[in-house]
Amino acid sequence: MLPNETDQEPKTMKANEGNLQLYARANAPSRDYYGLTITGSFINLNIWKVSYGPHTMPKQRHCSLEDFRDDKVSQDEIRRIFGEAVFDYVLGLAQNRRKLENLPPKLFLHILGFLRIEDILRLMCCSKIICELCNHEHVWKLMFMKKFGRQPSKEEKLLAIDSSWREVFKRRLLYVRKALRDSAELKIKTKLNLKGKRA
Amino acid sequence: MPKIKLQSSDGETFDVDVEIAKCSVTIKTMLEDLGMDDEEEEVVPLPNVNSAILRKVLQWATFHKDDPPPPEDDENKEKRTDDISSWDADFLKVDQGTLFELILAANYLDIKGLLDVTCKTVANMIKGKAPEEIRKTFNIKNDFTASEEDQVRKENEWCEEK
Repeated sequence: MLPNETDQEPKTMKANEGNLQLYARANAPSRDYYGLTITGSFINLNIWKVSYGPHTMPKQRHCSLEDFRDDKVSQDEIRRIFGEAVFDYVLGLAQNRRKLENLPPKLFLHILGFLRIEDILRLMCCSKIICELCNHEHVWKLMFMKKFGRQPSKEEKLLAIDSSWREVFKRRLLYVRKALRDSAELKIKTKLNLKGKRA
Repeated sequence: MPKIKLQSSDGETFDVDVEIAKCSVTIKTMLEDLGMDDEEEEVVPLPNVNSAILRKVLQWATFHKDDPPPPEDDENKEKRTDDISSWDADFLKVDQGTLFELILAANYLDIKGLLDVTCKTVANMIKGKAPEEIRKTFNIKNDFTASEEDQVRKENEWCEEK
């Protein structure tokens, strides 16, 4: 492998941290799936039409945040598929609205990096879009690293691919808590045993 | 000391010491790529920063010009937010719109020290507050129904220390 290939890998990963991905399914009887990704200054809309056939590839629509500002058709589409909260959020990004929730995702995540877990959990309850932003996989990974003061192991990374960082964090936290409880119980038991022997 | 000119998005030019301008990695890289000539004064256009914000950024950079480079981030640690100097705290007594503009400018100009101190200031406005207080602070509209909000809380109950 060329040396610069390895150099480039973390950069692409970094870029992904700033992405926001949302998924939605159309209302019955339609079974179409939609995916929305916001990367830097672009919006990507993926449409998977589910039909008996002939099967088609997912369609992709690409539009800059700047164009979205005046594009009524795209605006209505995002509102219809993803709802009012997401529509207002994307419009806010396009309009460069100076609000906490409309900071570019990368910078919103940077702020979360200075918060404690309990603060992020309370922030999540504030509004639908903030909840969505805080439930970002990268946020749960960050919380994992802060809580346990280490990088995740290889196994934990694999588990995160299969499930999610939220799940990895939850499992580890519950495991550690149980271990702490068991150890405390054991201590009490040994103390009691010692006392019993003395008596 | 050599100077350069920085031009804001609204067309105002600022004469700045090169050393101060270079605390922005974006400007530093641009000057290196341009192959700066000492004889000639370069004009660097900054289309993403308006004059009011650029003035603030330069004020900050001038005060902090002799600071050591900020340490690399350690993701595995709780980051402190109680270490904002009193000069910075005074400097950041601005309305929220300006604070967010400073965050955007610090990100665009790649000034880590300014980005961190502004983001810490926002973090401190969130820390220790109940959801309702956070909403009030940032003028966030609550679009959850009471049961939806309860649902979010319940989903993450396992997280709370017992």
